[in-house]
Amino acid sequence: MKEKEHIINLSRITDQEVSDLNEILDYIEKLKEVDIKEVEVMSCPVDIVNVVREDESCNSGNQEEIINLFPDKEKKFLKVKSVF
Amino acid sequence: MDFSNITIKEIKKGLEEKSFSAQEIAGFFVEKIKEKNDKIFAFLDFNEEKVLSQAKLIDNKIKNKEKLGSLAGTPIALKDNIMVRGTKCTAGSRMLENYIAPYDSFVVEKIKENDALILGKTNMDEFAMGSSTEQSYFGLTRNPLDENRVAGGSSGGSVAAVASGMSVVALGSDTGGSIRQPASFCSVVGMKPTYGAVSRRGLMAMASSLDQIGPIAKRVDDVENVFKVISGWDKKDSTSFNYSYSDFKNNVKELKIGVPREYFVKGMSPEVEKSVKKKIELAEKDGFKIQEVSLPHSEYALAVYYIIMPSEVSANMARYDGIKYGFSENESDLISSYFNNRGKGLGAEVKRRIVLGNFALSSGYYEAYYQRAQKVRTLISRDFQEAFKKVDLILAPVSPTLPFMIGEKVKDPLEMYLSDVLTVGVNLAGLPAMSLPCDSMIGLQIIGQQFQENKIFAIGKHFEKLWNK
Repeated sequence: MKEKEHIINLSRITDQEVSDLNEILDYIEKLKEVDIKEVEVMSCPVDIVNVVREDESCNSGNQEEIINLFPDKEKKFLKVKSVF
Repeated sequence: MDFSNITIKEIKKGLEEKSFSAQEIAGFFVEKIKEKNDKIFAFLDFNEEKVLSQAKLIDNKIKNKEKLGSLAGTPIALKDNIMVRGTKCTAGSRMLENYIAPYDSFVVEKIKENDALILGKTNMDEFAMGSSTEQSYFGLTRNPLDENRVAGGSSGGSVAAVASGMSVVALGSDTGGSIRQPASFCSVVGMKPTYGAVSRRGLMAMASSLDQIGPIAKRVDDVENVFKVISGWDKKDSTSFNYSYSDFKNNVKELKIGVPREYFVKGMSPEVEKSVKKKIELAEKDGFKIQEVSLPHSEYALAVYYIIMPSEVSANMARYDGIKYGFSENESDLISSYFNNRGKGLGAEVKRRIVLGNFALSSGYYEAYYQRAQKVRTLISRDFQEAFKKVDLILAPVSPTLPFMIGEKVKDPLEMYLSDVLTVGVNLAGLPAMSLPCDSMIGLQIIGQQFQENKIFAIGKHFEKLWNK
């Protein structure tokens, strides 16, 4: 119980009951039946390679629109609560 | 003029031949939205002036004899997790109730380049988490074929817009069946491309190794024509594939079909089973070679999905904290602000999946849950690869039931999750699949190999003709 409550706390949400999760976690237990010896994990279903680019700055052209979405701001700066 | 059953190609031809104008088309569909949307609630955001001014621009292009894009004048509705610059994009959530997209998705860039008429944004289960469109913060979408039944989800709004005649085509997104299942419930064609075939740039991410945007229409050739426009490599999406589509040129009757025995599940509606089996028999009578195949790990697909998907969701949802954008009622300190913004901004189903995912990824449980699920995912994918050594396409039902009644499953999460049992395997394996209406509120699922959408479209068009004889 304590572990699940800790996870709910770390998720930074409210109104989530542990009991709710138990039914789903019980259903998922059936995966224990499967023989996974020597099976690799699959993170992505398609054979693709990550992409890289030169570290060059470019203008996205929509700074105003992004700044307008800030809930709390001062001029062009985003205002946040102190972390410490 | 009555544009109710018009196709993309007919619209373009009509505009080029000056049989009608883009403004006439726009006016027709605007009226349909005004007439039907209150009852069905497919559209969350619809701006009549914006639609008519887009149409005017297209008519000006025609007047100036400029070349028209392949979707010229085609009314299209977009699921509200696909960003259109300058327009609200809510993902069906209170968290993004007033969020205005700062850029266009890749797919929106493509449809704008091709002169489509964007009608508006459609309703969806919150952050695409749901199978009925009852989990939208803004209200539910009704099934146009029976308003006491759900439209399906999470792309219920997009599907209902097409099914009710409020739009010609639409885009949805599919992570575990969210295009195919509502398409089946509302008797329209809905297709999930191969993972990587369509760029996810501008699609609000739910589960990054499973999500795909896909087209919805009344006919297969309209779905195919939209797919041609939206698919292809995007350098700004690192999971997008360098894919160029080519039409299927061989004899469609040479395509070998497999039917997986595991997909006719216990407890399935007899009506659905009968309808799908009948269409498979018709295909056999028509000369297709049909054989039974086995996908032995099918019974584990739902459990695998309900570990991998929430795990990826928990990561993708971490950004919604009310700091840079979104629902924000900040408290005295940072941590309390997180609890408050997320607690009030996010709905119950979203919270459930975030916590499930964080749990499956946490130290002490990661190997037993997430890593084990990733290994079983490999086995599910291998099952399909084995089957595709013998057949070109797999036919199966889309949903084990008819569309359920509004309110019937929303109180029992696991009941709701079971409606995905026949669709999630396809997302886990990254395969393309299409739902083709075979009876009222029942769809036939056509599953193909990766990057072989052309075979799916070819057989879909053939079946459309065959069944309408």
